[in-house]
Amino acid sequence: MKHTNSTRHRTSVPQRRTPGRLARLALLGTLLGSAACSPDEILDVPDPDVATPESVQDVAALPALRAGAIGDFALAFAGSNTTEDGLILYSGLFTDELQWAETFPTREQIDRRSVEEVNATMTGLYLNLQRARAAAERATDAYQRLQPGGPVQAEMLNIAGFTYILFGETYCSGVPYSSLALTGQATYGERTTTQQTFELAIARFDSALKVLGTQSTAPATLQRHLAQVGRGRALLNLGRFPEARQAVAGVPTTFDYQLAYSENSARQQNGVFVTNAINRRFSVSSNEGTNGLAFRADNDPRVAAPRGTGGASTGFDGATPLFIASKYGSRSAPISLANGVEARLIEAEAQLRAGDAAAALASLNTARGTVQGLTPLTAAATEAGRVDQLFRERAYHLFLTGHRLGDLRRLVRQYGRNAESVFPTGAFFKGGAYGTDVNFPIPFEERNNASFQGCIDRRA
Amino acid sequence: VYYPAFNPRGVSEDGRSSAQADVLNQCVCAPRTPQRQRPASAGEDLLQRRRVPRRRRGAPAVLGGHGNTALRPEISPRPCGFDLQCSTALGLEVTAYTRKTKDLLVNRVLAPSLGATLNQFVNLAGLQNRGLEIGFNATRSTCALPLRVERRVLGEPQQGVRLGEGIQPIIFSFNSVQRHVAGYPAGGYWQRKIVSFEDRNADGIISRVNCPAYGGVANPQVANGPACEVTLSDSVEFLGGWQPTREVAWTNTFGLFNNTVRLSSLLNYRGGWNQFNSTREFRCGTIGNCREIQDKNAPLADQAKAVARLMGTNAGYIEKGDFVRLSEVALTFAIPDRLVSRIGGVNGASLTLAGRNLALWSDYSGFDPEVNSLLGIAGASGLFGQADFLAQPPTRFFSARLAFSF
Repeated sequence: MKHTNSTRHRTSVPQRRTPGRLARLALLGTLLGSAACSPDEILDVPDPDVATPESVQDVAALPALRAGAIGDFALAFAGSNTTEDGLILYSGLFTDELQWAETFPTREQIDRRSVEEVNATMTGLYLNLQRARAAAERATDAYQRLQPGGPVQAEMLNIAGFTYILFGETYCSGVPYSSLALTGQATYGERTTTQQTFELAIARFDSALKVLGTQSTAPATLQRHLAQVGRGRALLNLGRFPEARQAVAGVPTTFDYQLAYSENSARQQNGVFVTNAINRRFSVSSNEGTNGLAFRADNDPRVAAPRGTGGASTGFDGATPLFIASKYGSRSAPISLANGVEARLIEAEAQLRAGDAAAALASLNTARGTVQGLTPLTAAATEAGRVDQLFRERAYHLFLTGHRLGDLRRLVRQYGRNAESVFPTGAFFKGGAYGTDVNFPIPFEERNNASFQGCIDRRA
Repeated sequence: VYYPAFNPRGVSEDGRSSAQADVLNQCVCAPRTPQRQRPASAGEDLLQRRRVPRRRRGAPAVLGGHGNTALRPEISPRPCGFDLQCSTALGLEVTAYTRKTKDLLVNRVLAPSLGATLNQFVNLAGLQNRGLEIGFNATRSTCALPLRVERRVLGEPQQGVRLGEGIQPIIFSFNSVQRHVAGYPAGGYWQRKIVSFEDRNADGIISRVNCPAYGGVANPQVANGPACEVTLSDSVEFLGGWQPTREVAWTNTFGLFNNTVRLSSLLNYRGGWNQFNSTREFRCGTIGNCREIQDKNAPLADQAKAVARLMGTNAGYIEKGDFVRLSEVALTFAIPDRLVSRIGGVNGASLTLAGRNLALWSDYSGFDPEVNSLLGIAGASGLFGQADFLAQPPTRFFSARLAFSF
């Protein structure tokens, strides 16, 4: 009976009792809940795809840092299927290797040798290359701290060294190198001259060789040769030819350090192949702007570039004939960063500079011997002819590997040639005229670095 | 994070006449309308792995986002103003404001040499908007012809952005034509101006032969050739903002035949703003298939725009976007009750025939100034990007609607 009364009581006047009780319960629950946990924490969902700085501070994270550094470098070097911002592409477009076959006006500026500081396209390449440098430096530091002395640490130093080489060969004098600590603290770099940039590269290769010491495992040997060729390339840029020859001594002609590309994801694809053959943005050039080499006309297997067929017979603009480089035949085609052929070419140049034309010719022919179908060269009659022969061999062996711009600049800087006798010049094939640039400006965005006030020098 | 808001309202009523006068004070003391950005811990998201679970050996760790622990909510007060409803037939609404937004959230550009990401959200110093909004409505009702007129006038925002110390102008948008520059409207158009042009050799063609280089863009140099025919400004200059500074909306409604037939219309005007006609710029400057670079009978002014584009400036294609648009005309017929009553449960019905986007009056040379190809584009363009690039203009369409009430 009591129970019944009680039930009736609650049922008959619910508005008086229930809300108050519920409100008190709700208030109590809220207070307890607030005391027990933070609303922000309740809503904070862990993201398994994101690694915080703290999570990559142990040995287990080193392979991830290495893979990231190599991936960043491969992207900056060749671009991908998500971006054409690859150094091989834009330096090739700027020189006589590639021709603009599409519609983006910012990339027309590159082919035309007339690049504005505010050219938004150029920001991507510069940023990607800086990211690659920073990633390699970050990985180098991590290996030094957690697992010093191995070939992987040397590899990271080598990758960092090559980023400096590419900056030195491609950009005007004055590139700054800043750093961002894992705490978020930014340290902005001062401008560095082109010479200082190559010296920074040499320092990285020297460090790699020091890390490797006398190790003789296959990975260590591979990295030693990579450091040697990189060091030789940097010394060549500094005009220290005897040292360059010494640097590459002992590097076998069969040595080849390749960057791997893959169908696995758009980011991992060979951007040179994709941009040339699939997206039809740039075509292989021939005799571009009067001074360009006859890449297509020479019928040389190193630079073969037959015309595309069907829908690929013209570029993206629907008008420019499209010639597709045979060198990279798929999205997963690897790209040589440095190889033994380049070592022989460095030797040949040093020998030529030392007045030993016969030895230089022998070195060139050793390099040619690696390519089926090439016959040995005969000696050129004049000094200028021998230089032309050397740089033609470099251009063909190192076609679409990011060397050509550095070589053209060296022809101006070290061989005293006029820029308008080596770079594409005169009337541009789509109207107007070529500009006078011999390197890339540093993008405007860098002016957010208070220590940077523009290029120091735009000369070669 | 807490976002305090205080929104007092005062109401004054005058009951001495049949006309009601309600003054609604909309002045608000320091309200806050934050646009919340999730703050990150120091360096959070600094390293981001892609597509692979954490700790899997060999998975690449690459730099992801660049967090900002110091990020604060953006704060901007609401405008002050008043509504005055003098009678059921006459109303006036006035809002005048100077709005200073503090801690403006902007996707700042970072120096690429950091080797990080290119952008980071920061609280820039601020943004100032000044404006005057006037709304007027009147209703005239007689037995034969009920009439309602509503006019809204907006004198909108003259914006001035203030950047923080050490932050350079932020450049973005297609062809880098827009900038955030201290003291100027946010995201204004900046390019070298076309100072002058002249067909000096009277060949009917504007040419850039023998013109000097501007901003590193070289022009053909021909010995003993014609003189330069286009002159650009020495540096980039402010060409105008992209947000309308004047807006008018005019609505009329007529009732006929005892209000059984209603005719309504909406007329819009937007003025004092600019649009980047990137479509035309692309056709002339890149593809080369516009009249002014193929036909020497094309107006010289148009030729000069195309030539100037080749000289490195898009100024010729930053056009006034002012327009008047007949946005809508609708005719509504009330279906007589004697017909409606035959349908069970239906109390009323009407048929509306409407046409939208019926006419456009504008000097803009593209299809329609009121398009934006940069909506939703990430990065620095963010909320400020404005360009017409191969975009479909608003369509004109007609509709018939049969409405029932139950």
